Amino acid sequence: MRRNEFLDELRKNLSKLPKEEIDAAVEFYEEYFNEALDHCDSEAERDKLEEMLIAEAGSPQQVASRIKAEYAAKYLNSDDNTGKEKGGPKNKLSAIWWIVIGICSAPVSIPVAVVTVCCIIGIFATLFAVMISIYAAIISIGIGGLAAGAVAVVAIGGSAATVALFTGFALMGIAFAAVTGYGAVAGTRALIRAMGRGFSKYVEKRRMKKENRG
Amino acid sequence: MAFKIESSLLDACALAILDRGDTYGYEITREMKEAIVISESTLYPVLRRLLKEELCITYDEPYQGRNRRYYSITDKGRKQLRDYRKQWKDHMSAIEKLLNGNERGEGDEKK
Repeated sequence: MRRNEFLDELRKNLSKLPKEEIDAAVEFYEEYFNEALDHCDSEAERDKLEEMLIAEAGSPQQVASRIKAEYAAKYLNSDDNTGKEKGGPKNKLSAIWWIVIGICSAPVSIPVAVVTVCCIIGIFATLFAVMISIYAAIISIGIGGLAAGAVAVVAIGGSAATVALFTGFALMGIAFAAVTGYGAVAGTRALIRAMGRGFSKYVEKRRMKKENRG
Repeated sequence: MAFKIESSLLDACALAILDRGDTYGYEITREMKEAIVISESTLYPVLRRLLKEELCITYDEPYQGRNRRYYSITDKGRKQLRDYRKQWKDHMSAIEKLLNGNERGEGDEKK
């Protein structure tokens, strides 16, 4: 490997460091080679020495990794503010970023939030309406049964068949209403309990997540 | 040589060389190599560290058409060198005692 190759490789391997660090390091070795070779009298001597020096120095990767390790150690162990400063602006920046994003997306995000809330309300309203209609249906069947019963009573003076028919209707209606009414009430209670459980689980999960994060 | 020189001792040696007079990278390396076995890749991180800790400063001087970067010890560096010299004295006598022991009594006392 020749000197320029060595220096180029060194520069490449140091590329992650700040520019002034890279320049300082490469300049040091460039100067070192220049000095060493200057002490030679002949071209042949110079070539030989160059080879020897490069062999002694180690591969550019090795030299670079020593420099990088030294640079990293300085920042990891640093007691002064340079390390902290790096953390500070970065954290502040991401907080500011969130605020900016929040403000810029407001035209979209606020309506979206409103719509979501409305949807949730809508779903609950629908469930409620369905429940009410079921109850209404049951009650109307019951009322129908009672009405049939009333007709049966009125018809007692007249045809026995009519009485029997409407009594039948009455009993059917009332029985049906009773059974389905009981089922509806039980179903409603169960549904409310399940919703309650689901909600409290959700709240607990969020609380635990917050605790873990904190 | 079996004994690898650890970094603060290298710092101390470099400071001692600078204390004798301002000099440049090649010269510092050459003087170090006269005393201990080090490779070229060892010295640069040492000098960089001394510079960052303000124990020395650098200035450039042109020489025969190219640039020489001279290193010069600072007052902070001189103070650090004094500390290092004292630490070295203690360290050296402790190791000497452990390794070679006193002529009489030391060995028996340990039993």
